Amino acid sequence: MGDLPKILHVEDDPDIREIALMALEIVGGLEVAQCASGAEALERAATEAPDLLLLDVMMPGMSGDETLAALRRLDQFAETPAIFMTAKAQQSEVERLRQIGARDVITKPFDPMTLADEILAIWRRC
Amino acid sequence: MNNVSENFLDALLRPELPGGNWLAVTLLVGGLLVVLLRALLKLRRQRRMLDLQENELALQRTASDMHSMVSISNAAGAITYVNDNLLRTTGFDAAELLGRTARSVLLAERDNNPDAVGEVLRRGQVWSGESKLNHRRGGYLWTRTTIVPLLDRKGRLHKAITVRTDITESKLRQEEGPLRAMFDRLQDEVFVFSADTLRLRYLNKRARQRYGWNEGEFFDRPLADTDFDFNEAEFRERLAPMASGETEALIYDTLICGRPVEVNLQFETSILGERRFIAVVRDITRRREIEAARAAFVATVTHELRAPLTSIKGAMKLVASGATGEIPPKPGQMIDLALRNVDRLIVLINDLLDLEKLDNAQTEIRRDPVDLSELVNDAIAHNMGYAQEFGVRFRAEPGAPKQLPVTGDRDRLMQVLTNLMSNAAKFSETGGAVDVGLADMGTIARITVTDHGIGIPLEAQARLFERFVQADTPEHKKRTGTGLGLSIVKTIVERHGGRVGFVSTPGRGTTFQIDLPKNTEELSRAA
Repeated sequence: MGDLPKILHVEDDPDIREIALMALEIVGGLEVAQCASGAEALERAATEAPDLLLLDVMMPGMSGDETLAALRRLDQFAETPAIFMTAKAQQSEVERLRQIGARDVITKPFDPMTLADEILAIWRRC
Repeated sequence: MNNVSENFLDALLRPELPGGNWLAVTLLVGGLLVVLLRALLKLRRQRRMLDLQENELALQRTASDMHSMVSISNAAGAITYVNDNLLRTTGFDAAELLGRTARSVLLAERDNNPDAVGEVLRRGQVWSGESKLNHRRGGYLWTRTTIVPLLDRKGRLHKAITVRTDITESKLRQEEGPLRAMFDRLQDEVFVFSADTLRLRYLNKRARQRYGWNEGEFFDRPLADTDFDFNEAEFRERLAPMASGETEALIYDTLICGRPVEVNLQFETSILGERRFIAVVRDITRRREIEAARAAFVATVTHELRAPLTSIKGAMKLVASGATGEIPPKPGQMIDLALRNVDRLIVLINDLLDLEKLDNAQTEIRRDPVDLSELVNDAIAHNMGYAQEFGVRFRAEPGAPKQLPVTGDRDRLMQVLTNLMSNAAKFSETGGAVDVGLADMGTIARITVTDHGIGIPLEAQARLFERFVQADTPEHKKRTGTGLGLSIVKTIVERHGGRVGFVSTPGRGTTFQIDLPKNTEELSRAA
């Protein structure tokens, strides 16, 4: 694994995608590929070859849970670290997401100035 | 006739008649004998009457023995006879009653005024009235009482025969009838049961209908017959604080025969002295549905609010940081102002979501071992941001135990400390100190958070833990929060089976005190 991971960010809200893109690329200097849905992520995942998955939980169509499960079925993503972003900050929700394979959970609203550092800290723990 | 007799006597006693003196003496002696005989006959007649009276009373007593409680007392009031019926009904042994006055053992209430009763009996009159008797095993019974005095020749009270009839049932009906009629009109189910035996004493119409029992069918049935999931040990544990007088009433939600109900329990002592509970059971199926809908609504709204807030805050933060290019000072100030308010909105939404979760009895409070000593130290470190923001120092009070384990939800307890400490910092003067204390009080662990700031105005103190209540002074408004923080503290502490309180002196500061049970049973009950 390199020092700075390439991130695949899946988020249905275009505004949040925009903020996250700035936070990760401009503030954090990370390489990011973005998808608006789980289906799109499945299509592009192979070509993008990300080191880290950053997934929104509540999305229309495929939820974050379903997207991760579908990606895990692909050999190259069976072990790829995944971080969920959720507006539900309860401990029970965080635990549930950890149980289905999340390395960690970032709660919304996130701070764009620290988002990249937070993700890197989780990445380095992997 | 009298005149004739006197003339005849005079004639007889006239001395000029020969042999008249002997005749006179004989007649005199004979007359005396007649008088004596008459006196003796009268005496005998009186004795026979007394015997007859006693026999008659004895007969009456025998007859009464069959159906009533009978006792006989002597002139001093000491009981000399008690029948089996009296012993059976009151539970006393003969030895416990004989030789003692009814007043000292049997009579429960002095409202009969035994002195007045004695007065009536001494006059030879029969006394009749109601009396409340002690039961040997505790409690009372009501009797209809008739006391018949027996006077001697000189008209002095010789004996008193007391005949009592048990009227407890009719007394109960008379006393509780109107109440029961009212209970029968309720849509809720009402159960009255003995606190000691947990056996049913009364069911209102609605409850009788549910179980298909008639008036006479429920009395003395075990309470467990009303619910197939009834756990007596658990139930008694729940009742314990009420039976011991610690609390007067208890309201809790549970399932009875699988349906959700709210139980409102009151403790009382019946007119018979029986300790019993009145449980008003309300079906809350509909309420639960509404609560679930409300929870879903709040969860959705909260999520929908958070999504745009993420964008607003993110965008402004990026602009404010200069990541999108340099911004002039004035627009920068405006963006900072907007950001502060976005943060307030986020805290408010988080607090609302928290309360919604905590209010929901289905939300579990974790029961992990938590060392409060470690928690307090972590809270001081964790909340340094607030200390810096408000220019105060957080200090651990000396003398705290090195370890103080409780059972609870560490994250929630940390939230309690964070809310109290951030409040304390907010209401302290710059340069002031906030002291966080911990003490082992035996069965409870006590955490205190003390500030030396502006204190809480008296008019705000009574409603401090209510939602959205904040002190209405310019000093307080300047430092306002969401008005939910203390409500969250109270809810979390209570769900741990604990209590929260405070002491505040305006102008001198406030101490908040959290008492948490050290044993896990309290937590189980609360959760």
